[in-house]
Amino acid sequence: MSRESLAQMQEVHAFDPAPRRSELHDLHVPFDEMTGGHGCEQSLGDALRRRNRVALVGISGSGKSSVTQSVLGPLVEGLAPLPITVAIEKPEIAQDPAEFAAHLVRLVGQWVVDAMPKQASRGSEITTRRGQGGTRKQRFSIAPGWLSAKLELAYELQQASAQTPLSSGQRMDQARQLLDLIRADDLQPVLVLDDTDKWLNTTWQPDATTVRSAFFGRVIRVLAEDLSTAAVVAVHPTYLADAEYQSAAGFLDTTIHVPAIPSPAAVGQILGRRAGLALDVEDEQSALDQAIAHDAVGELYQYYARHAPDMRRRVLLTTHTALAIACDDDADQIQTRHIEIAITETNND
Amino acid sequence: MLTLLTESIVSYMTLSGRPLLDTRPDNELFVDRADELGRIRAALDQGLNCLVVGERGSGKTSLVRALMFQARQHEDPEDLGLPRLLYVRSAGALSATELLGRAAGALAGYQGDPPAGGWPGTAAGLIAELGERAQRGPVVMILDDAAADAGNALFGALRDELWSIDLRWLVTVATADSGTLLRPPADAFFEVQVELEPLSVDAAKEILRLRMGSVDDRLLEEAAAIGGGNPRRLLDVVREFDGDSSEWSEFATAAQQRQQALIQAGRSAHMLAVELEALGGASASDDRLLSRMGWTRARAVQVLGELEKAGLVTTSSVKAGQGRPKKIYKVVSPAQFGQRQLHATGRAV
Repeated sequence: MSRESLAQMQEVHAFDPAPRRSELHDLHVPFDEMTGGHGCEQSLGDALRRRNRVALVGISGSGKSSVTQSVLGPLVEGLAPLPITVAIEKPEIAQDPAEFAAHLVRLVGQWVVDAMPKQASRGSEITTRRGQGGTRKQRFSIAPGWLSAKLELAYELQQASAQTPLSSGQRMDQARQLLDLIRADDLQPVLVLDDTDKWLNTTWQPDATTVRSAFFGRVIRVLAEDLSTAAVVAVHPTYLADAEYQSAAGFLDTTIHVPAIPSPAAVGQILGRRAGLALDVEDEQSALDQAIAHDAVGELYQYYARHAPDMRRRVLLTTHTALAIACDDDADQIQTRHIEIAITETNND
Repeated sequence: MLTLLTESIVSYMTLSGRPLLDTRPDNELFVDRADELGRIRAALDQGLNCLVVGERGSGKTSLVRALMFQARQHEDPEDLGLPRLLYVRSAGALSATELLGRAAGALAGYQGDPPAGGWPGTAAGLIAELGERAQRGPVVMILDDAAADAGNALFGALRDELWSIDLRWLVTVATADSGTLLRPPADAFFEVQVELEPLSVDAAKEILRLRMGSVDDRLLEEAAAIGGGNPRRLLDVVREFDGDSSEWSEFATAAQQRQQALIQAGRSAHMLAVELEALGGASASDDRLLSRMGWTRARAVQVLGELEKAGLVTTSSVKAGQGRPKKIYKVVSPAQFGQRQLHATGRAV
């Protein structure tokens, strides 16, 4: 590898530990591919197609979001992910099923506006323009990708979400109606709560135990019994022993643990994927071999294996930092010494 | 020599303990911290979010202001790749939405382009606004003195949304607040953490030399020892001295004894005294004090009572509005502490 290529990788932040969510799908090397099994991504996809509620268990940085994005985004045959973002102005959403349902409806309405603002405001014209593609406004949006490809459905969802129901029962009905509309388009809606700590463990929630109890005891139950929808609920392993979490066990059909990265070769796969994308090279092994010395990959794996399986911090942040050090060093390749310095610099234990 | 010191206080106010600004005269008073500045610069260059943690008065604000000043000296108008550092004061913010509003206001002010229809009312809307504006050019948002609860909600509950926009964050937080701010999942947001260690004796002496000119080295040595590596405490102590050279030794001894007594009062009492000094005095029901300590009023009453019993605080009664007067506690000055010690010794004899 030339110094210019290394600089190019640094320029595009090839090993960025916190890439955009929309990029995770392309960057992620499935754990099933690394382990040679099918207990992670394939199991998750299969369970969601069976309309299961899935607990996806892993520590912070282990790859829960990457696994979810890999399985669900951006356009996956038959599945329609609904990412449920936190609304800090309404903490009651995490505790009250009717508020949760209303939040879902609001989110869907907002996505339609974000994804297809013209269509949302001129709904009657949508059907006549079908097939011509959406005119996506260039703005920041978290609207799921599948929505842009579904003009008629988007219009129906917009119409259904525009009403303002008064009672709790009506709010639940409205959410159910939205999910049914999606199913009628041969898509399986999947609610994605990709880090429950965001709902349950931060200071914006007044009483963590009460909130946890209501979230697992009531909201999850409603997802299963009233809305009957598939869902991914990402949780930290510490929750497994939690009495509040266990109260929801009957409503979470499947539990999938994010596995650890199994070998130095797997670390190489992760870095090779990113190096290949950064350099626009199809041969990922070749991109890896040019970017980072074989021994350095081994060193990185040893560092990862000695600690809790935090891929984001132990593998990506360390390599990201080592790349900057290698560039400063005018090196042609990331060497073991660069990894060692990066480990020292990034270690906040 | 000490006459010179007193003249400095009266004539030039160079012993003010206020944080330094990003101006040339203030930057000339900035001492040391080259290592910390280098680490912060490296993190920002690599596109990483950075947290600076330090005791109150340790110089966090002065540090980021020095970074801003130095960045401006190297600013090349032709080089659009340089991120713009935007300063946002975070103290007193009650919610993540308020913090986002301040950040959005700073960015709009820099861009000279306030939103035509007003700011969005929700955190999600403000993040979208920040995301759109951040696409116009690289920006690092400096959030100084982050409020613990609001900061945790912002970087925890809204972590993934913030990760999804092209905006990097440099945040400073008091050591006492860092535990709350970094409660998961916010801990993962900051890829780099920089701890402000106590200043070396040489650095402390240099601070005083820059502000006071030529002064007896023994005085500098003793003042540095009393300051304990904290620049604000160092300047407070020297500023509080209001005598001539024959009285310095007595004052320095009293100041050192006061410092020792505060440490011996126990960790909780010492932390409370630090917060009291930072606030310039407070009652046991002061919301700012209780929030900073994470205590109930009852706990504050108990520990303030211990400090009062040890002669480490003075009290005064202040009537504000209706209701009973409030008892305001202030940490004793070295001179007051010395007099109390003398009085106590006299009584014992």
